Amino acid sequence: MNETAANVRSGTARPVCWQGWRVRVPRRWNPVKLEGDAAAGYALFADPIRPRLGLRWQTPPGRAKAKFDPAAAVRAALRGEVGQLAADEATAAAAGGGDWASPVLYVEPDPPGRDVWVGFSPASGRLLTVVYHVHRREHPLASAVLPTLADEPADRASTWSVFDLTCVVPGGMALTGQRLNAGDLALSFADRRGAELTVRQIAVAHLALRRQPLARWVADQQQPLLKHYRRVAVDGELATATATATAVGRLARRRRYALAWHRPPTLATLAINDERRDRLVILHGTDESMLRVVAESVGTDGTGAPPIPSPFAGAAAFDATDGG
Amino acid sequence: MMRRWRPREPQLTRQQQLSARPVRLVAGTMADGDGGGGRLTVPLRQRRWAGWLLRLPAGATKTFELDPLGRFVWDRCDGSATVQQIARKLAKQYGVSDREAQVSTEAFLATLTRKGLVGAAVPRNGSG
Repeated sequence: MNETAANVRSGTARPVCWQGWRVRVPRRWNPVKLEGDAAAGYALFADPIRPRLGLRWQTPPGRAKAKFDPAAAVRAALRGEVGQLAADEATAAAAGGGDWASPVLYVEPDPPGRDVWVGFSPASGRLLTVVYHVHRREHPLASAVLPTLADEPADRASTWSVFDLTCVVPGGMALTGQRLNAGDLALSFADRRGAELTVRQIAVAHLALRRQPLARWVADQQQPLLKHYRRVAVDGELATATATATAVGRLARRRRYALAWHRPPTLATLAINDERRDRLVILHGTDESMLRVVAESVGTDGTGAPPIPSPFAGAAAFDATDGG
Repeated sequence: MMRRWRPREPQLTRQQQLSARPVRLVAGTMADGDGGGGRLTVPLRQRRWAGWLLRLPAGATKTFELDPLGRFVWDRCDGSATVQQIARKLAKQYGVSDREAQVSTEAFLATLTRKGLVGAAVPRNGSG
């Protein structure tokens, strides 16, 4: 068993969940490129020296038609990736998590080169292409990466996990922005009904709180919005039973913008000091109850570790099958 | 108009960048700051041409405020540890991911290099 496969199996791998798909990769592989939306996009993972894994997802045209043939779409995608001759050598290879239609795998016989796997996910109606940049005679794609690959429909609550930030957002919310700076990770979501959500995580919490208190972090998050909103309340440094300090700040739309219907009437910001992970979690959005539910999910890294102790034990979790 | 010829900067491979060993170029004094950080005081050097216009007083110094992470990196810029080793130690010490530590360390070292505080010994073969 090669090193990569051993890493994934021994638990030294971490999950990456993005736009509905999820995969476990060794900890040394980090996403260096994340682009696109739920319909189509590309992710590239690299170790400190070289690119290792590329993952492309796309929505094939005509997938809703009755005569749509997933096998033909898979073959066409593989042909486009490796060429006709190599595509003829591909063999069927199912991925571990989820139901895949017509999955095929091409293994490079003479490295360096690329191992390519293509499969169609009926759950999301997308075509996934996984490319492993093999530079010596090891093929962890089939043995370690593919068994952890899964895909889920976009209308369900979806898990997002990148670097150190993990959260579960309600179904129907699409990613609208990302800011992945070292030590300051933020993902922004919105749905068609105008609900907004931003999940931000700052490392290291005890250093961040030394700079300014939790309530000040809430105020900083709200600062760019103060032209259109006024502060209603800031409850800072609330003591809770779980010893997790929180601060809540609420904003209300200014009266002179009452006709600005595209701006939500109220906004809330929630900051949590996650002492167990030494992270500062800031959630900002239109629905305070939704923020509290999402706060429950931040920090579950998919390895079975318990979530951060939440001060909102009474909040009802949204159903994983909820359509939004 | 003729441009002044400048030698091209050598292009380093990624392996060489990570194997470089940062070394302090100034003999500054580090004083303890708030919350584990530090204040680095270094003597100011008279610039060659600017000295004609603005002469610095003898013993002029400049002070840099470092946060705890910055001080952690500065303390390890002694030529014994590579950039990659410093980043790994930072990740271990503060519980951040390797990637975050590496990006932060490289950005901070680049700042120190621009300020003339740190240089790097780069191995020829990239093996460290």
